[in-house]
Order: sequence, then structure tokens, then C-alpha cells
Amino acid sequence: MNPCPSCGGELTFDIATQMLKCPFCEGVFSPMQMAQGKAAEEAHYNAQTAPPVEEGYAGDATAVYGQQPQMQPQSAVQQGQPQQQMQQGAYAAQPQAQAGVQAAFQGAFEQQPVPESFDVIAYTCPQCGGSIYSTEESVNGFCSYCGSSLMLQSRMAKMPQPKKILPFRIDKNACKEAYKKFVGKSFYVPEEFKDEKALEKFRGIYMPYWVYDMSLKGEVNLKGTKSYRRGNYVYTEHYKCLANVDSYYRGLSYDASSSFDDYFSEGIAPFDAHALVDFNANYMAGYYADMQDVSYQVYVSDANGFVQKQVFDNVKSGRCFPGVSVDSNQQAGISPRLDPGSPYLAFMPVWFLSYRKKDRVAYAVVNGQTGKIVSDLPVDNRKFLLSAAVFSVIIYVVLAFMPAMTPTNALTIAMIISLISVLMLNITLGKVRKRDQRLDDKGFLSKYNAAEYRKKQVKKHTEGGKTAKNMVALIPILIIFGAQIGFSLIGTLIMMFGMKLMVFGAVVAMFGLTIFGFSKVSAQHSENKGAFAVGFIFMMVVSVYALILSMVKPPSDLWYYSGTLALMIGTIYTQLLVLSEYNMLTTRPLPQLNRKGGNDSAY
Amino acid sequence: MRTKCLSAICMIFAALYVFTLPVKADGEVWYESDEGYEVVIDDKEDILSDSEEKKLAKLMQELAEYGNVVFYSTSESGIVDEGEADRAASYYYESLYSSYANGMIFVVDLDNYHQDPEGEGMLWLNTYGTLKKKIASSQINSMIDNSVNKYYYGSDRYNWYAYTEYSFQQVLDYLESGKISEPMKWITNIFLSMILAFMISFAMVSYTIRARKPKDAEVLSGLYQHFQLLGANMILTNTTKVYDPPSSSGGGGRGGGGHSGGGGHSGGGHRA
Repeated sequence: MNPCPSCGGELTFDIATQMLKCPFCEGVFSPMQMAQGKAAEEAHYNAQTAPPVEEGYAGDATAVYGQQPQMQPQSAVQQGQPQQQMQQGAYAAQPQAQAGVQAAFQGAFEQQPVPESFDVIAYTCPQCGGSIYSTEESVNGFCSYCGSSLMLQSRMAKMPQPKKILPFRIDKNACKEAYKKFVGKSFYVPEEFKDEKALEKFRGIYMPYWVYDMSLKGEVNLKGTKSYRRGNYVYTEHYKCLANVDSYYRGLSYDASSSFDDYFSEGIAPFDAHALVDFNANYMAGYYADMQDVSYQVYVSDANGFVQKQVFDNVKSGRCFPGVSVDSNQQAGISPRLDPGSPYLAFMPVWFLSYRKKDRVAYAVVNGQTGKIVSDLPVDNRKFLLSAAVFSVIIYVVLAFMPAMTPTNALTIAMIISLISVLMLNITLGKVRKRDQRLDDKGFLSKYNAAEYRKKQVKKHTEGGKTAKNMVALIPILIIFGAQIGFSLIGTLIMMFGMKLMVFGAVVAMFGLTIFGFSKVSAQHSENKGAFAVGFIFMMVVSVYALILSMVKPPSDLWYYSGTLALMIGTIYTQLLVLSEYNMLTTRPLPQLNRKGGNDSAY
Repeated sequence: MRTKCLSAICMIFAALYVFTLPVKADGEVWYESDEGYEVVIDDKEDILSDSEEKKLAKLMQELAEYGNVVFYSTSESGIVDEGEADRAASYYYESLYSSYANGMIFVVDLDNYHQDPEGEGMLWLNTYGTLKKKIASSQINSMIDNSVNKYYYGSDRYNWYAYTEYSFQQVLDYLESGKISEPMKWITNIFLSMILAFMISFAMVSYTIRARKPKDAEVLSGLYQHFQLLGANMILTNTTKVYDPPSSSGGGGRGGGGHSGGGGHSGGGHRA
């Protein structure tokens, strides 16, 4: 509650003026000045009336922070390296790059003060368990996470106080206009997404982000080569490229809430770190916030990788070592370090909207600073079919002027198209599985699916290793040789066996895809299994029929056309399944957050 | 009496006309149009009766308005596939005329059929000159396909005359009206256009729903950043050399002018 010093009315943060404004007397106050005036008052109040705090969080801030060193890998200092070397940083390519970064982080955290917490009111959805937080009491008629219109339950809670906050720059009207323009570009979006009433539910939420300040100071030692021709010989000179780097990258931010999908946080990025100001709860007046529950460690490798890439790109750009080509597999050997006091928590402004349809929910997220939009955009089936019908007529007219295909060609083409269609279905099913289980959301996995998270981390580290880098360098060569051999082989086989072989290959691929696809359906679908089973079995049967036709070669074209039509009917059915899956892909299952707030694992 | 005399005189003239027509290869020239186009029937396999030959010649006569029309039945070419049929047809036609001469040839090859009474023959039609442009291979295919689909499963399974007559009739209809019966083309096109339309729509939907990750430059613009490289120094550690003579296949002079081909043909056929 921010009472107006003049009339006692409730102040809210006014985006246009970046000041606290009283809606009654129109008094305008600086958020910082208001904070200073209130500080002494609040300290006294907090001491006397400690609110009931959330389970698992009260007092945990200190306790959990205190556990921090135990969660760190052994620092370089503990491993016996001289302190001086750690500070200057020997950035030569070294295999222990990741350990070095972790060590750098530990060093930073040892100096980091324990964050304070501040009082908030937690509004929890009785249906999904999702919570949003506010510094003031307000009427909450809906849940932003699951779209439920049930009255949210409120209670007092404590929230770790972020170090910085980026105040909203885009107001709700601008957000709504931008979003209307955004959805207006897509013909396929359901009309309800353009409904003014629905857009009113855009809610301003400060999302917690980890902000990383990283620097790299010291010598880089990289290998490079320079090649030239002299007569019948190609000479390659191998160089050791030495230089002193002085660089920093401050303000890299990654979302620290497991309920905020990385898909959205990556999509609305970046936030401009230059606009960050010291945290002051007055900036939250009239807005909500989400609780940080993801460890800073989750995005260490991302921040590290970003800085490594920038430094490496700068070094190898040619300005530093003219004429020398720096070997690209050395990027992992560059070891940036975390600045003291970093990472720190910051609140970033986000406009958040949810649409609910049965047991699925779609989100729209707008960057509250830049207005960048990311949204789940389901497809209106009627509009999709209408568009397909229009395209169909156009294509039909175009095909009318094309020569007729021979029946055998028609069968082969139908087989290939049906294969593509089943492949599309497989890809879409895979994407839906990934989306529904949030397998691309590192923050969520680290919190709720530790096994999958560890798997990803191990994979990432392996990929980042030298061996993987070398393999990546080999890929183009393998592709070129593989393609040459493959094309020669396929060409020879087609010349020998023609259509029979092509159809046989397609049938084998079809079997593989249908079995693979059905296993995915079995794992994730409970209602549509029957429809998918019909589709997959039908496609398998008709592809076998096509194979038989290509082997028997019946003289009557009617046989070929029957196979072609069967394949095409199967393909259309498969396409309809893809459409239904598309709508699964552009929506999400209802969240089951049930978190208690606070942070059990962040520190 | 006068009528009978006139008929007799006409028959004599007709007989004289037929006997004076040249014999091409082993085929018989049944008619020669004012433009010099000929109707040739070379029924080596004797698959047509006299009356069928006459009826066929009459039909072919109408086609002779557009070019030479040749019917050729054979079992000598050892036809095993469509390429063989095409070559046999071209070889025979070009033994009579130039490949630039307007015309068409319909070949019935019974090599397989003779080897196996239950076996299949091969029907093949090629067009040359201006007719090649008027009737494309795909249209010829459709015509022969229609013939096969019409007679293959009926009592006329081995009625070669029926296949030939229907094929020539379709060519004539097409040359006169520009229309050809291609029901399966239209049916498959309906499904094909639907499938392609679905795929295009999906591509459009995919384009609109994708979330774009920021580029590095965008991220950097939002950061406090600084990069300085001091004392850059390159130390040569070693040099390797690989024997790799320059390729001799590169370069070459400009090529001379060519000429555009005028021959060739359209063709298509089917087992029957």
C-alpha cells in the first residue's frame, strides 16, 4: 500500500511519467523519494508486526544463502592454484574451462551480500497453484497462469528483494495496440484473440531475472594458421596468437522463474540493462511480480557461452591477427569470469495474458520495455480449412494446365508426398511432447525434472568439448562425401530397379515413421489414440499396397490410380491430424505449479 | 446400265490408283493427301483383317490432313520396355520420312505376346514435326491409357484393331477439338491440390507462429560492454607443406556456336 501523502489515496506507478501518481488528487511523487520517506517507518512496522510467512521460506534466505559454498564445485584456489593467477586469469585454451567459470562464480558469491527480503501479498490460484505477488491488496479476478476466473487466495509472504528493477516503459494501452497489430497479421488466429475484452486481461508482471556481469581480462593464447601456395606446394604456417584482452559484458539477463517458460523469455529478449535502476518496491505499485525459484547456476553455461562467443568472434575477426585463420574449436577454452556482486536478481517488466480453452491454455507475452511480442497463436480450424480450400482451387487450376502424370509416376509421387506428410506428423508430435513437458525450458527442468535437466547439462558439456567441436568441423566434409556416395548409390539403384526401389525405400521409411510416431502418441495422448492408430495403420497398409503394385506392375492403370488415391486420402487424413497437433503445439497443458513461493534451491 | 458402267469405271480408276501408289518399306501406302501426307499400314503380324485395314485406313485418312500416319505391327524388336518401343517406332518412321516431317506412327509390338499367349503386347504412339508440338507425350500417354483401360478387361483383350482404332480416334478428336478424356488426371489433381494446399497453409502458419530469438547484436546493444585487445602478437611455431599441383582442368576457351535441334518426337505407350 502506497498512500498518497496529500490525500491518502493509493498511488500507482505511472508509466508515462515514470512517477508515482495519485488517481484522486493527481499528485505526482518520485518513487525514490517516497521510498526514503517510508524506510524508517517500515522498519519499525516490520519489527512489530511480523506477517505469517510462507512455509519453507521464512528465514530460509539466510540459511539457503549459507549453503551456497557447498553447492559449488571446488574453486581453483582450493585446487592449489595461486590466487594471483585466478585474478588475472590465464585464458589460454584449457580443458577445465567450465570449472574455471564455476570457480569464478563462487568467488563472486562469497563476496555477495545476503539479499534482503520484503513483504508482499501472495495471490495463489486454487486451481493450478500458480502465485503472483503484489505489494498491495487488489482484486484479482483471474489467474494469469491457467486463465481460471476463480478468486485467488491471498496471504502475506516474503520475497527476496532484487537488486535492480527495470520499470515498465510500455503501458497497457500501447501493449494492447501492439498485440492487436501482431495478431492482425495472422489470418489463422481465432477471433477471440482479437477480442478487446480478452485483451483487458493483460497483466503487468515483474519477472525475476538473473543478471550476469562478466569480464575477461588477461592473455589469450590461441592457435591459428595461414596458408599460401608456392609452385606445386601449399604451405601452412602455424601460429601461436597471443594478446591481452580487456573486456566486459554486463547485464546479461536470464529469467529466474520456473513458471515463466524460456520460450517466452528468449522470445521477448533482450532487456536493455542501461535502464536498470536500484530496486524500489514503489515501482511495483499497481503491478505484480513473480517469485524467483530458479538457481543462478542454471544459466551459467549460457552466459559463459555468450561471452566466449563474443570474445572469440572479436579475436578472430581478422583485425587482431591479420591473415591468420584462428581455429574455431578453441572457443570453449576462453574463460570469462563473473564480476563481484554478480549475478544479482532484477525485476524485468512483462505484460502477460492467458487464453484458456478446455484443458489447454495459450499465453501472450509482451516485453514491458521494448514492446517485443511472443505469443502462442492457435489455429482456427475453420479459417485454416478455408485458406486450404482457396489454395486448393488455385493449385487445381494450375495443375489443369500441366501435363497428366503417368500412373506409375502418380503413384510414386503420392508415395513420396504421403511420406512427407507422416514425417510432418512425427515432427509435430515430437514438438508437442517437448513443449508439453517443457524439455527446452532449463529453468523449469532444473526445478521439476532434475533427471532431464542433468541429462541436458551433460549433453551440453559434451557438445561443448573439444571432441564435439572437432566433430562439428568434420560435418561439412562428411556431408559432401556422404552426399556424393549416396547420390551415386541411389542413382545406380534407381537405374537398376527404378520405381520399385523408390517405393520400397519409401515403404521402409513409412514403417519406421509410423511406428516411431505411434510410440510418441502412446506416450502422450490419451484421447486421440484411436484417430492416430487409424491414420498410421492406414498409411502402412496403403504403402504396402503401393509396393505390391510397383512390383506386380498390373497393366491396367486403374490399379495404379487406386493406389494413388488411397495414398492421397491417407495423406489428407494425416494432414488433418497434423492440424489437430498444431493446436496442441500452440497451446499448453494447464500448469500445475503448486509452489509455495520462496526458494528452496536457488542459493 | 449407265450406273453400272460408271461404277465399273470408278472401280477401275480406284484400283489403278491403289496399284500405282508406292510401297514404302514393307508397308502399303493407302492414301496420299494433297499436301503429300501419306497413310501407311505395315501389318507384319497380320493382326488386322482386310476389313479392319480398310476401316483403319479410312480413319487414318482423316488424320492425314495433319501429317503422315503410319500403322506398324511387329514382333522383331524384342520390346521389353518403353524405351525399346520408342526406339522401334522411331526407327520405322525415320526409315520412311525425316524426323522433321509432320506425322505419327502407331506401333503394336507382339514380341512378348508371341512368347506367351497370355502375355501382353506393347502399344506405342510417336508424333513428329508440328504434331509433336500439338500432342505432348503426356497426352499421348493419356490416349493410350484410355485405350488400354477400355479394352484390357473386356472381351476385346487381344483385339489389337480396337486398341489402334480407339487410339487414332482420340488423336483425331484431340486435333479437331483440342480435348482429351483424362478423368484420372482430374481426380488425382483434386487430391493433389488439396494436399499441396494443406502443406502451403501449414508453411504459412509455421511462419507466423515462430518466435524469433534475438541476434547477438541486439543482445549486445542492451549490455554495458567493452572489448580491447592489446599487444597482439603472432609467433610462428612451425610450417607444413603439402604437395598439391594446380588442377589442369580449369579454364578453356569459349565454345563455338551450336544449333538448335529440330527433330525429335513426342511419344507414349502402354502394355496391353
